[in-house]
Amino acid sequence: MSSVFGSHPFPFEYRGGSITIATRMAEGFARYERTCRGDRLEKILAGSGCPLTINPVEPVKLPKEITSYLEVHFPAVIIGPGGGKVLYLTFPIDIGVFLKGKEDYSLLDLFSLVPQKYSLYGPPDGGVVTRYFESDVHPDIPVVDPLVSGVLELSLKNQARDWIEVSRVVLDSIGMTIYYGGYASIAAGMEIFSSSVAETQVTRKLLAEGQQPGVPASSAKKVTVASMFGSFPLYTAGKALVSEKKGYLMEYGLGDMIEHD
Amino acid sequence: MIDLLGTVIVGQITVGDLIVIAVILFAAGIIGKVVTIYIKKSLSDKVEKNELKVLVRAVQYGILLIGVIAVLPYFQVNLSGLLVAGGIAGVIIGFASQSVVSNFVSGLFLIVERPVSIGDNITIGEVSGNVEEIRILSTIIRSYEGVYTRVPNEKVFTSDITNYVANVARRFDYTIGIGYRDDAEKAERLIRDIVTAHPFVLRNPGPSVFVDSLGESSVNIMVRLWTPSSQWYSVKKDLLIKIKRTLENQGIEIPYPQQVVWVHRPGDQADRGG
Repeated sequence: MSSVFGSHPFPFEYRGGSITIATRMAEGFARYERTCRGDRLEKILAGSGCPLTINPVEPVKLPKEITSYLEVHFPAVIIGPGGGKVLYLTFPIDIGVFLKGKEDYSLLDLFSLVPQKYSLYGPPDGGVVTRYFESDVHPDIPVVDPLVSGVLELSLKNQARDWIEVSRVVLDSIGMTIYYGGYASIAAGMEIFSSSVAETQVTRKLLAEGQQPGVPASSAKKVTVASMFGSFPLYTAGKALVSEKKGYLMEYGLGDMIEHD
Repeated sequence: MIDLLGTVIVGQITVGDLIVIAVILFAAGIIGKVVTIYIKKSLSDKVEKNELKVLVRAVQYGILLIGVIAVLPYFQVNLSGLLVAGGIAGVIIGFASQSVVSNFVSGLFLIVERPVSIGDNITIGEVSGNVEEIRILSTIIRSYEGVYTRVPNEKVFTSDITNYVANVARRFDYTIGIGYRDDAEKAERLIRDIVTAHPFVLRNPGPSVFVDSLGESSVNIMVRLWTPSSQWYSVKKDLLIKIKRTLENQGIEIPYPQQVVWVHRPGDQADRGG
């Protein structure tokens, strides 16, 4: 059984765990079929069969895109003044299936084996809605199920004069590159300024040899693709983003949140 | 040189007058252009394109008009008479267009203050719906029934506005009544499991589920949830039916209003005792 991630010529079939993906000719049409945890999707691809690219995408678009922020909560880590530490966390895998065009990609399907949960970072009038995920803390790269979890390398740097307790990181997924190979990975830095303020930045870094950057879904724009049943909207994911972006300023705390009743 | 500037061309207009007139009109044109560029830059993302075009033209022509009025004395036009006539006309037009001006000014304040944005889910006075357009004189709202409603900006500006999506998250509550004979703790647990499993019921602030009151016919369980503002209505619809089905499947009754009537018949022990 080969990895599902990567480029696959037409026709293609993958069966692994509770996921099946296939492209094939049937009844005069090229067809895309996918099942995931019992959820089934079938699409008719107008024209002849074309290759698929499948890779992990920013985990902020399911079941509906309402935010670009990913929040990972982990057991508290206390870091001394001027100190630095590299932690390994995990993040949820959302799988994007793309059709390759001449210059760009169209997002054909998006699914995940991981149930989604959202949260609020900060107050309702100034904070941001985040995709929420709880992770353990690992000193080294953990072994993960590549269809379920990816590895988030978080480099902490404490610029404050006090010991700081950190138990969450919020990352802006716009421009985020997820690398994949044996497992998916993201590298991020967190510069701590005080017990409630830090800046996070996703960096472009491979965690293992042979990894390659995934096609991001965040630059998606609508296109229309003809189908047997009329036309339906798809999303064109542009070429991989190349511009570096500014980080996200976490200004509502680095530890557990205050509840709003 | 001075003789040339004093040379009369037409009527009493000299070459010098012509130069001054040209400079004033040119300056008015330049000022108009600069002001309109500034307006376009400032308002291009806040005002609808056609509205912005009208506003830009009105400002440009207004500045040009001031330039033209400034050069009129050179054509021997008596401005005092014009001012009197203009003043009277201004008062008449002012009375006639009072509401237009009021709406216009309110529109400008709305653009600057931005209490609502296009797509927002709002209630203004008695009108509720989604904001379709914010124009210079009016705001267009599409009600939840799909009805087009035009609200004058003056009314928008002076009314209480409830914007349901101004904040990124909001809370809503359910009160679920269960029978007195049912296990309230089990019902709480079932409801908590359902709401916690929903992706858009926020993890922080978390949901709270508790027995709120002992009603006439039911034990009332309060369910308080925070959701992304854009999703609250779909979550509300989705969860209520799931809660109802789950409680019913678990044999927990959601009772109708009911009253227990005790009938005392003559000869009952209670009567004898009394």
